[in-house]
Amino acid sequence: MEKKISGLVFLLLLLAGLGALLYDGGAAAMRQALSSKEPFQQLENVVKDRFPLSETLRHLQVSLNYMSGLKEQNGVFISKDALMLDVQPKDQQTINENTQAMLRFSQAYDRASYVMLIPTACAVQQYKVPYNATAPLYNQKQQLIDDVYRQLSGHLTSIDVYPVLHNHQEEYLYYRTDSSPTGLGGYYIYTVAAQKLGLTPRGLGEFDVKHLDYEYYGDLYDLSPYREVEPDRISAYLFSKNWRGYAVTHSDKDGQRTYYSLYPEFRKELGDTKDILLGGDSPRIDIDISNPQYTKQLLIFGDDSFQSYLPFLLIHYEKVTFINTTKASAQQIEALDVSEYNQILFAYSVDHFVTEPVLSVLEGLLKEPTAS
Amino acid sequence: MEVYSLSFIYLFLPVMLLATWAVPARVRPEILLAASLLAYYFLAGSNLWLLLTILLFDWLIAWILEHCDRLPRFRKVLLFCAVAKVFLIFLIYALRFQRFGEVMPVGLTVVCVTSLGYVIDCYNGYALWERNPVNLFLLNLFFPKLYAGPIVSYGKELPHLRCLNVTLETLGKGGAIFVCGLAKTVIIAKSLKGIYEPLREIPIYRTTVLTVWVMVLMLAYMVYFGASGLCDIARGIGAMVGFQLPENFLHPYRAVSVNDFFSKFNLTVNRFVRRYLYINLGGANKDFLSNAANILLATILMSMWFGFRWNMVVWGGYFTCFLLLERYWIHKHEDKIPTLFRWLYCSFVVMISFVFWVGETPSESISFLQVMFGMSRVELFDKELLYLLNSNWLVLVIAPLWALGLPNAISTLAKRYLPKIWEVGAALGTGALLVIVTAYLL
Repeated sequence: MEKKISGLVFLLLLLAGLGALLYDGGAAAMRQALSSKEPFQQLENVVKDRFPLSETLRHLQVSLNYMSGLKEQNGVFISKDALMLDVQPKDQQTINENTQAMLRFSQAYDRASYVMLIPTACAVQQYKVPYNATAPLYNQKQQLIDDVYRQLSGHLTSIDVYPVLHNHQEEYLYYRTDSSPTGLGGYYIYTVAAQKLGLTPRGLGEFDVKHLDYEYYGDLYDLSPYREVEPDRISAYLFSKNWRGYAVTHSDKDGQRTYYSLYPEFRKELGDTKDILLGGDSPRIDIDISNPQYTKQLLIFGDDSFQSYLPFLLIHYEKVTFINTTKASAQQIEALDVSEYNQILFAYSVDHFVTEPVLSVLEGLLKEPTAS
Repeated sequence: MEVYSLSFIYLFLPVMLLATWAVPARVRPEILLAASLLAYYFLAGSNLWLLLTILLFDWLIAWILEHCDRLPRFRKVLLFCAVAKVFLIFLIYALRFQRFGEVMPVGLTVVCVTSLGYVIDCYNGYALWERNPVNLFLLNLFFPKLYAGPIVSYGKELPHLRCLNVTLETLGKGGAIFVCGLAKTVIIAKSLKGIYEPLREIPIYRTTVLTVWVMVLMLAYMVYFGASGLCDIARGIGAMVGFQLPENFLHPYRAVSVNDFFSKFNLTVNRFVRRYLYINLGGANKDFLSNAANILLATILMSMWFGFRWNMVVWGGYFTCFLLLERYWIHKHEDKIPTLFRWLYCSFVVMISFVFWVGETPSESISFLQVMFGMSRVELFDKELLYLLNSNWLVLVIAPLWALGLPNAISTLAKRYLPKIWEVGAALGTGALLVIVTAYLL
């Protein structure tokens, strides 16, 4: 009898799985997969995509692993209240290439140049890392940031944001489910950067805060969907003291689009709430600010961490151009005229800087340096 | 398409089961053979032709053997051809592995060995030429057992193929074995691999004493869970369609002697080597040197099942020493030694043997041994090891308990004292474990 019940349960589960996979166009998708170049790999991918309750099952897997002691999954540390990317350098060569690229660029263009390496959550909020006494953490401050700044010393001005972030480590500096700093984290980064850039940082009270979303789940949650971690709050910071008009022009493979607001809220309807911040992430973003007080132009080479600090920095400039060198192609930046800018800032999150040749795309600009 | 992939479990398997159920019992072998050929083609493509050629060759040899029983010399030549064919195939793949790193196609070893056993049985007169090649081909090519066995014997398992009964009971029994096999392979072995691999990547000059000990233990358990999991998957699918496959692992880490270990670890292969080689060489009934040579040859062949490397030869040689020690010395004092100490001795010998699996070369394995026994100037342990142990504490508890047979003991007790609860619990447990395995496969 016991075997009969077992047999029935087992058969029902198999048939339920089969039925759900074939239902609603499943058979057609599988036929298409089987006619591809790697039929069985594609078939397995289709089955994974269409598997019933796949989200719930992935949560189950992550939770079971967590209960079994595995608190680092898919390169993400799972602490009690946050997910944090485990940053490990790919190799020393990548770091050297990125450092040398900044050096070559600053030498080719006689502009005031700055470098800012932004430590990630697992370096600043180390106390949150599970088993932090034994976890093989990469020492971002000593092994990378200090070393790179030492190498660039005399050529670029370094902006060390680690101390300020460390001093405020108990605050909401990094998203719980995303690898980027929050708006508040961005503000602290801005306070240090502004001083080094020769500006007077504004107080946090001078910015109006608007909370755009309380249910945001970011990229780390996609990697390790641990249910116990609470969703994030996405906030917009708008300088309230003097009115400024903004024209934010995004250039990507689809062409150009301009928003006349730093926070085009309709972007939420198109997908990600984070896309409201400066209109999202694009290979090139040009921001014109109608601001009679300031006449400086800033060129930033950076990565997706710009959404945290840039809304604050903007208020001190007439024009800011941001190039996401992790996304931009050589063609997208070949028209860039570096001579138009007074200052150049290289701003990267450590995780990108140690794993990708983030500045290789700038090689094209070094071939024919523009004489200033 | 692997047997532990979602597409196999939720597409191929249910369709195969429905097809097997839908047809009369006499046609089931044909359906299963077609399914096996299709599944193997999905997995290894054109290597299917190689396997079919081998089987056809052996089938013809068996046919000729049956028709020339008055020509003993010719029969010997035929047998030699069948054996030489297997050695030639293994030699070619061993050389290709050495030279190009190319691994043997899945199932080639299992098919070669099973099919050779059939030819030898025909030669010795223990088996008759199988008129219907479907049964013979299915016995050899039954898809799920191509990964890691078990090795089937023509005389024992062929009768099952003639009456493949498929009922809810067989499905329940097979389903439980299948899901346990999946859990062993997909969850336990994979988790152990997650501990073993980072430790193996540490260069020997940076390693620690406990790191090497843990690494060796993890590999020992990983091999057991990986191989026995695959065998359970095969046995489970076999049981679902009424094809009873033999057990291949009987809690080998509970063994109390090396001899006992070999009767529990990969036992169908060991049985094959004993039956077709060791006994024919005279077994252990001759003088010491002949016995030692026979044991050495048999043990090395058993070890070569896991790969053509010098280290596997050393692994075989290492066990030969202990088998001889047990046969000529420990055997006489066996009764005086408490079982616990015999188990500790055997576990120690077996676990240490896995150093030869860990090392790429004998010299590398010796370096690991030096570290393990404190003969190198390295630390006792480091933070990295503690982090890995902390991060995997549950699997480190479950793996040894499972390997020692705790789940079986619990189920036996539950069956005896709580039969009603056991009935429902076993069914729900199988279902729940299938859901968990599915989650791990996504």
